[in-house]
Amino acid sequence: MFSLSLKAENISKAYGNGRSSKKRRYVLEDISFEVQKGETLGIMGESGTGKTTLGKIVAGIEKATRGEIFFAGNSIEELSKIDYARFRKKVQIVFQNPEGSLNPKKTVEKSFQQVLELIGIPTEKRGEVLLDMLQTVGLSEDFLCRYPHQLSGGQNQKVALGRVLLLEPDFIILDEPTSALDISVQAQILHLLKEWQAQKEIGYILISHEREIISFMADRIAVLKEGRLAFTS
Amino acid sequence: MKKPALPRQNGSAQKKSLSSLLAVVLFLVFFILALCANIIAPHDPWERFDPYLPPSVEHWLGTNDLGHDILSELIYGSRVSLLVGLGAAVLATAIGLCVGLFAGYYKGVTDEILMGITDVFLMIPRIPLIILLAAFLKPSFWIIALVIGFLWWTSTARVVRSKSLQVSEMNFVLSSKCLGFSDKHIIFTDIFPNIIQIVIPKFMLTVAAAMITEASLSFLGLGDPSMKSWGMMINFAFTKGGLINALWWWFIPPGLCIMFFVYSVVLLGYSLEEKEQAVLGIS
Amino acid sequence: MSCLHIKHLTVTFETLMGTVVAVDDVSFDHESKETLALVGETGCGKSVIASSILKLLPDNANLSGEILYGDKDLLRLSERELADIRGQEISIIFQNPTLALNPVYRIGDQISELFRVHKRASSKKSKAYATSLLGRMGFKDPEHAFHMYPSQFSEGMNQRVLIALALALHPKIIIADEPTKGLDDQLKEEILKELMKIKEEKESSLFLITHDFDAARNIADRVALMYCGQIVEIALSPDFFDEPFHPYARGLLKSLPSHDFAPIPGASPSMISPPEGCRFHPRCAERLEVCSHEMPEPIKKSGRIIRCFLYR
Repeated sequence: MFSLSLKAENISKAYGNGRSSKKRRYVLEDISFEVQKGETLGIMGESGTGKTTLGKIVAGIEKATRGEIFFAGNSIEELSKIDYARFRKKVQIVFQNPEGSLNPKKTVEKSFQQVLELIGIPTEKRGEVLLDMLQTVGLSEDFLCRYPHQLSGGQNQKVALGRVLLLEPDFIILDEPTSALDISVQAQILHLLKEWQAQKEIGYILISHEREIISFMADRIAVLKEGRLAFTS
Repeated sequence: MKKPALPRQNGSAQKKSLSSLLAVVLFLVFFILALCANIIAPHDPWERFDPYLPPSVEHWLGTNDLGHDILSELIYGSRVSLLVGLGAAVLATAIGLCVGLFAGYYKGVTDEILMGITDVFLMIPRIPLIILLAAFLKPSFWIIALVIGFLWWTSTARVVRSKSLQVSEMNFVLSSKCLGFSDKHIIFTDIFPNIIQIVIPKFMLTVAAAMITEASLSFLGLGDPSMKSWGMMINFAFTKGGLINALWWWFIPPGLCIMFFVYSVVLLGYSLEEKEQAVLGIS
Repeated sequence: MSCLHIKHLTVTFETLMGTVVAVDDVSFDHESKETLALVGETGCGKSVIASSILKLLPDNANLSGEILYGDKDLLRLSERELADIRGQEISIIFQNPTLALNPVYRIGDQISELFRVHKRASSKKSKAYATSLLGRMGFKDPEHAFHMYPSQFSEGMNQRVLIALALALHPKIIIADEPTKGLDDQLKEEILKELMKIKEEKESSLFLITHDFDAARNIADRVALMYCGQIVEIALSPDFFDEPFHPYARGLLKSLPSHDFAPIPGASPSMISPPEGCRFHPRCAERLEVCSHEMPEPIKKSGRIIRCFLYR
């Protein structure tokens, strides 16, 4: 049976622009993993281990020095324009800092509207879809006319998640999605994420430094240490 | 949580708000003068009366060598000076904004090429080049505005580039990329609104620079003789004997106008810049 | 013997959006030599309490109530009298160590300045004090550390410097406002250990403000829980963590990993228009009829102070 997967193969990332390999500093070395739809891969690492860089590379918004990302069996470097657009839609990322994930100059409504426009929802249906999504992420209508700085961290993160969910992604990379939030809000968001996974069969790559969160969420756990990834049972 | 204590409003802060109020008032006065010149001016600036009249009730600032009413000339002159200043600044800001946005967003080769061009433009000796151009081309008011616009965009481009480099690394821009928005969409709806606050003060300073340049060129006799700008008026006063004969009502008012207008524009620019810094918490 | 009485402290801020009641009728005592942890979620007003003790609030703040230190009411002291108390009697450690240090002065100079100003020590003597203090804060080479600038130190090292600064004059009360926020787990532990060690040595009392329940559980003698500007429960730390009384406290402890992150429904209310009656009633699973229209007053119950009708 064909199953949709997101695969990283021998990903390495170096910083520093020295031509010789000696001057380069590798933050990630030969990292490989595969995630299927509907499962959660937890990647654990302390700060400064290149977790965020790995997340960005897998999401396709940063280039690896070596190695490739495969989506549904094809390397994303070699995708045709149409297939790349599909990848772009189906693989999403949510960042750690919720305040920075939304444009400070746009209201919540505008932030949502532009995504609705992007995915080609007809104007007359947008209101309905938007209200549905607000309900899914647990925000009330009054938040629509607010700007990101008028929301709490948790509310910002819910808006960011809602925008991503509108695209109906197959995979979401979660880079410390709750580390800036209060514990009660953290609990809410983790449960939301689990619910969606059960409903829509989303695959998660959850990157975090907190063991408890990873073991609560993940089906498989890998540890990122000194640029290398090791799977634990 | 609440932020730590802010410094109290002291005397210097009040002085600052007073000076920015002054700047706004001055700017508005000149703007209205230029806009409604035909209503406010007592005479047509080309209408001839007796030459060399001293200030009187009929002609508040007297007349010049050709018998033109100087007050009317001054009021109509604000139109020309403002148009050159604003026109050049709009052009310069537009170029600087585009160059800076594209360089800051695309980075890499695009950035290097665009910034290379900026450096070249920065090295051009601007006033001598304009003098040369004005000498070869027929001196015209539009050409002057155009040339100033094409030469004064470099510092705007640099400021915009560094800010958009910073903004384009922020998570919401990465999110937009990841959601699949086009580059055009990201540059103009995500990055642009977040740098507009540094462009506005830059624009005001360019207006001031363009007006001074125009005035200097006109004074040197390289201006458009068919358009009476403030610089042109000083030039006439100088060449037609106003200065030698100490006809102060001829050359002092346009000089004062240039000074006050540039002053108001620069002050406005600074106070906008300060406001921006206060918002960002720098300064 | 208690050294700090806070009585009916209310702090409001005038903002463009309306009046924000950040702290609403808060009363508690801080015993000498004890560690009291004030816990609560972002925006509940816990840092405002810390800042009002030393009157470090912005101009748009209005305070009422009393903060008694000995026989003095700190809220009614002049700036000059307060300056003598700040640092010498009560000192505060802020949450962002890198911002709290002046980047253009050397670490050692920032510490020795304290001795010069407050103790009028000679510059040679104050340098010696500062160096020995740095040594005690776990810097292996205090001479070297003395000459460093804040930007040359990591966040954790700067936080230690701040603690050194706060403890330099042997204050009787140390207020620590989220001293470990944004630090790695390992560093967190080290910093807290350091703080406790010094506190024991100097016999000071520690007022720890934190959103980190593990930290509170590990070091505090008593815990005070805040929700939406009010203290809803004060109890001895073991009692609080074993069997919290207030429904909000119970909900919070269940959101911790050990209970599989069971969330409390809803979100913290706005401080401009808080709900009528008990602040927590819209989210409370055990609310009574009375909760929605009457505000519960704090009452004493089996050694705790609690603001809830369930324990009336």
